[in-house]
Amino acid sequence: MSKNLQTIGRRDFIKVSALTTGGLLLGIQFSCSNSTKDKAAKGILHRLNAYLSINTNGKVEIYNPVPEIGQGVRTALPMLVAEELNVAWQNIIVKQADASEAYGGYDQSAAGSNSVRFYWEPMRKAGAVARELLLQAAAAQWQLQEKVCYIEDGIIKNHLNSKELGIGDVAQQASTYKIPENVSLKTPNEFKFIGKSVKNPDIHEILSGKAVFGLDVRIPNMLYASMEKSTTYGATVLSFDASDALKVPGVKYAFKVSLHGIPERPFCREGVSVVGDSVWSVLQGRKALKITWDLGANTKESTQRLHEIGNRLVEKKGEAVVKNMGNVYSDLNTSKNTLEATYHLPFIAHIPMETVNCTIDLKDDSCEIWSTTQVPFADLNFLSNFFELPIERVKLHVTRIGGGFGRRLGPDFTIEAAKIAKELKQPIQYFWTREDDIRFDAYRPFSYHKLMAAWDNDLKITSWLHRQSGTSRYAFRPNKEPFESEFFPNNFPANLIANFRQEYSLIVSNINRSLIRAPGNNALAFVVESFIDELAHKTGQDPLLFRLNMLSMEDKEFSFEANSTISTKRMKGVLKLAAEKAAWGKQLADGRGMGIAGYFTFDTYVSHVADVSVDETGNLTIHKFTSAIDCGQVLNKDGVIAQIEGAIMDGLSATLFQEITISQGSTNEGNFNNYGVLKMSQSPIDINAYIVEGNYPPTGVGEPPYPPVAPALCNAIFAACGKRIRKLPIENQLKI
Amino acid sequence: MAIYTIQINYKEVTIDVPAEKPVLWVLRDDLGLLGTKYGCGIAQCGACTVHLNGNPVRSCALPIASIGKGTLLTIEGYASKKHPVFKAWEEINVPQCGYCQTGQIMSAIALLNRNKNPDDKAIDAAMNGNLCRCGTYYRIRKAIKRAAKLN
Repeated sequence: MSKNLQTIGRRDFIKVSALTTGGLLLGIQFSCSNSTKDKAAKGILHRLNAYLSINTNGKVEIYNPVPEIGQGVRTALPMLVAEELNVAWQNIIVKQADASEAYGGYDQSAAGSNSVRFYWEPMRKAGAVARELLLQAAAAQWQLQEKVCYIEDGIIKNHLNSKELGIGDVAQQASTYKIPENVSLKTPNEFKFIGKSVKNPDIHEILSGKAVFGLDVRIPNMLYASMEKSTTYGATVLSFDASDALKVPGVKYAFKVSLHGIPERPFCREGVSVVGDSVWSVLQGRKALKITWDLGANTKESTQRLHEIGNRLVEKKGEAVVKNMGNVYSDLNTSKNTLEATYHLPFIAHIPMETVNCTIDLKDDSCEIWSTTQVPFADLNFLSNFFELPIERVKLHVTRIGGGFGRRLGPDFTIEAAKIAKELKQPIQYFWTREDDIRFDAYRPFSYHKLMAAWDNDLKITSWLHRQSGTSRYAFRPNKEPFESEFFPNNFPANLIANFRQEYSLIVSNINRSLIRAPGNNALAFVVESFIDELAHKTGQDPLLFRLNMLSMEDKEFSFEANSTISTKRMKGVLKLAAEKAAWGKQLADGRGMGIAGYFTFDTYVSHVADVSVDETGNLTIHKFTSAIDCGQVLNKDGVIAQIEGAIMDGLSATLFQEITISQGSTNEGNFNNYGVLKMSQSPIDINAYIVEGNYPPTGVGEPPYPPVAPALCNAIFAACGKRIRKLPIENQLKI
Repeated sequence: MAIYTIQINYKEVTIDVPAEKPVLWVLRDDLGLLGTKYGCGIAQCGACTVHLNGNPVRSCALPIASIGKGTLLTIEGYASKKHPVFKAWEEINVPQCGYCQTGQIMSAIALLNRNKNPDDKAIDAAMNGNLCRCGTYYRIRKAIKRAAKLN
């Protein structure tokens, strides 16, 4: 059996001890990302928590470090432990880890599709260490050599006789041994779980309504709190009258929540909080408040103004040159064959199904928090500072979470909850309504894009100029230097075209914006992959072959970011697989068309082929999506497919109708009646997703399938009816 | 405030709440039945779907005073029964975040109770009021068809 030997080095901290109930407990502090490794190397990390415990009944409890927001991390990461331990999946109990350096600290964030990249090795090592200890204990009991013993489905066996022991039978004994210095990890051909599909460990709780989401947390003596804010950006409370609000049965308190004392207060707004003994009382209390606002400096802000500025900015050279190779301007000036097009993407909101919320039980010398955050460790640090409590006295639990999409990366709701909790002597559950969620969100940046390209007589693209003007999300960050654009300068088609230039101009605005599923990429994919499609049609080439030719016949790898490369081979792989499975190139009826797009996000490659019809009156029917993904080693196969399916639906919502608009400094949309989510009847009946097999390390799947949805759909619409969509959302653009 | 005696999940309960208080908040605030979810408060998303006399209704927009002698069933009332919808949902592994799923299931049960073998059109019509932000529609459709077979 070929094995991959892993040293438990000084950078990993593992402790084995007995459970109070008998059995084995592994306390581990594994280093995940580079930043944690650096800290560990300096000996800064020292806390150990339960990571994995094996009970005498053979049940294995695994602590999942990353918040579950629907991306399937509570299945995928525990699978890694189960794989090395060789236990049956039904004997795994998944626990949710609190925020702690011991569980990875900042690596615990549900962000950047990082979880499998960060925890791929540490979680397997945890399982392998436990396996070695159990085998040692069994071998000692049988007086056999450890190397003849093995675990199969949670049963310890050996090659010499038919004796068997449950892992629970030797867990206590195993807990008395020293941690082995080396453990061997399985090679891919030995995997039993990894790469296959396993059952969601939470399925019964979810379906029966017993799963505890943030809004379902109930602790003794708890009050509910919410906050009335002005819809105008930057408005402050001049005065308020809460006398009617306090008459509402169940309402206990109403007070102003200022932003004073928060040095950095991204996205927070001032308002008046209402606290009561039920959600309904609080909602009625909010309605009864009379607040006089100072509307502040943003009352003239509108998306109309942003349209004018955005459009104007892309007509001239950008303020910042993000990337420049060759000489784009002289080539464009001298070339006979050129094409230009201007694209636009609107603000869109995150709208997780469960609105943001945070429950805080603040005492004089300690604090306990139940949060729906995507960044537990960052919040833990913030709250411990804010409450002036040592971090050891603050416990932050992560509940099951009703969707993330980047909404819960922002600290706004946590800051507001903390401000209110500090005013009271009782635990509170702070919540936002759907109206709060849509109006007070931080949106995907608004952007304009002007593209210009030239090609030679062999129909090869020689120049690519991409000017973007946008309300960059980075403009909100306290340290704005160096200037960061919304570009990824090394993503395709960078390095494939001799003269290549990206320019960025900032649209200055105070409208809140932040990260949304595949940030930056979700706009760039639409623009880049649509323009490539335009170039293919303009030069009379098949859009798939055009892409494959652009990616070159020989395989190349380019540096993308530190520790990340981008490969033409893998991009071609997903394009070819999706096209082949969709029967790309086959004859289609009039009014029907296929569109393709491929995109690289967070080290994962995805291609979609959309198959649509557009009738004479402009009615769009989406028949089918065929998708291919290369995310390296697959962990939970069904989870990968599910993320592709979900991302297609999400991408269709954004492409078809999602748009946040601003008038007089306020967001116009305020609930699902005027800000939509795709409905069942609008969803494609047929989705086929395929996985490119390969020996690359695993990469994330939560975000990468989202960006190429919009261009695949819009390219299919062009193929079906000849209408080129350059502004999102599509809304009524197809109607005749 | 007023006293109401309501039939819920095969039991009779008495509560003292304002007449206009929506059933959703009676369930969550007063009865501790937390499987019914808040999503929008204006009957646009279906996360709060319950059955009133067997019909799916949006409990967030249904004042408690309006239900009279009607019988209410929530996900908790169904979860104890082995409806094939649960098995189908599990087989197809429908949920992602899971937040909307209890509402989806309540709508699906109501559909299957009146249509043993729904086609795509019937599924569209019955499920259009239940939003899923994670986009599990493809699996919900499959699971409803699977449940129809199991029934």
